[in-house]
Amino acid sequence: MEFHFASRASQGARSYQEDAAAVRTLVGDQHTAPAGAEGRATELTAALADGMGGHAGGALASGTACSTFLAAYGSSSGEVPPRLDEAMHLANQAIAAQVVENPALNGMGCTLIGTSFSAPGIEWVSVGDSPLFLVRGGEIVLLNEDHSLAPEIDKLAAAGKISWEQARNDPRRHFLRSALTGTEIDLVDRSHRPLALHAGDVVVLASDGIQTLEHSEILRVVNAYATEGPEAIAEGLIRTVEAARDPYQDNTTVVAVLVR
Amino acid sequence: MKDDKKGSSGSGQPAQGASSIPNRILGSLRDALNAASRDERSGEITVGERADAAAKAAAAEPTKAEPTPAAATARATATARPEVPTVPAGQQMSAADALREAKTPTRVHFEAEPTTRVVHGAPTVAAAKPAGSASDVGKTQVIRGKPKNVSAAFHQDPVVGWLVVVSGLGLGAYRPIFEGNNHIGRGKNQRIPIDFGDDTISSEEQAYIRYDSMDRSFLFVPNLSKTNIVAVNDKKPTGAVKLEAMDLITMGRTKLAFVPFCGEEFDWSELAELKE
Repeated sequence: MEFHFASRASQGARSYQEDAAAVRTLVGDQHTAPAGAEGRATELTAALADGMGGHAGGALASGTACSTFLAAYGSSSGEVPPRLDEAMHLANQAIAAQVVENPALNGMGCTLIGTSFSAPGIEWVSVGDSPLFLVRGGEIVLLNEDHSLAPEIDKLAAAGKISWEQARNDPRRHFLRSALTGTEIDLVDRSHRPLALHAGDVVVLASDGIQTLEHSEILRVVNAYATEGPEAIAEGLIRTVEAARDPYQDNTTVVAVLVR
Repeated sequence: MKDDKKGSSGSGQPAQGASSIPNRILGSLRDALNAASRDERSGEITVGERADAAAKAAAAEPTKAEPTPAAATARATATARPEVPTVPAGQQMSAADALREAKTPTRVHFEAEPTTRVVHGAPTVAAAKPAGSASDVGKTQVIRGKPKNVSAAFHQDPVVGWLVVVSGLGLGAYRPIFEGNNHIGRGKNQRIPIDFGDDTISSEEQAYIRYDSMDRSFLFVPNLSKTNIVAVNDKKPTGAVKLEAMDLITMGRTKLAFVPFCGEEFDWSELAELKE
């Protein structure tokens, strides 16, 4: 089994890019994503982070988290889940260290999806609201848990306490319940065993800018470009987000991993 | 990108499609799970567990090229595992089933409802439970001063708005406004201290800002017993005036822009309502 990956990013309507993504292959080549990394390997680790905390802080936090996560994971050994956990905590500590060094950065932080792809399948650890999708055939599934308030608000709507319209427009949808900020991490979502992957499966790591698209649209785009490879998938997703022309379009970054 | 506005007025922009999706996904998951005649605790994508369970769960050695027993099981029918959805032999697992299995701890025993846990153990901060009742919202955790509606325990006095220094000493700085009466002055003991060095501001109680969560409005009230005059949008009020977003308050040589967080759109009391 071989994993083909590619990443693409778009700044959207924002004046700066606070997302970061990076992929590390078994041999240790590290591809930083916004540059548009692509490659293939039989084992790889991919990380994606969406920063917050203002102009300087957000980008620094997400960049620090990704590079620290990959480096820490790459230099550890043993079972995957504790390695993912440890790498995540080291990424969080690296953010804390930056804040200690420069207190003006206090308040910066980021989401993080850390994934490991190997023969047994994909394993992940996730904090925040950056989605991790699996597309298999005609089905798309969100693998990680959304740590924004959106699921809570949807529950209220489902319970009939507020209307779906209200739920959709609730500004609190974007509040985060958990993030890496250098302090305690409130919620962590993780896999408990490898999710076996099959040839043709596509895994997408994304920042929440992609939520401009309905899941059905993401599925359609992934399926439309799957035969052309991960570059086409990543590019297709970014193009579709940009085509939506949301005046408030957030930064969007995607890492597509195609199983072959 | 997500800035601090996320915690405050990130409003304005409607949540694009994002929203209804969990429902959609859950729908498809539910179908898949029903098809696999799964238990009723479904309805939620995530069934979390502790890291230690995870550690045990992943018996797989990632560096091997050969599929390990764990992976093999995951791929195959999984009939041997009672807590795992049953898939007819020889059929590729659907994405939803595969996900469920990846998130099913190998240990069947839970000391409580299976739920995503907090890393540094405060027992009060559990994640949303799968049950989906409104009381789950009470467990919502928000980072750093953002609305934290844990059983009515605020991390700090909840902020209802801000004053931002747009001219004068302290340019670019801000001060939070809290519920109720806020006295504004140069002294550090003031509820809203404008302590950036402008000594033409009275040290104590030159004015007040009052936020009333009942009618969700902000009032600016000058203290007429002070010699220094204050202005709102270049008018010099002698009594209370209602504040609107981006009103400009002049105190001494400092100009402050008023930025509401609470108001018609939102008030903290709504979160309390969420809880029940």
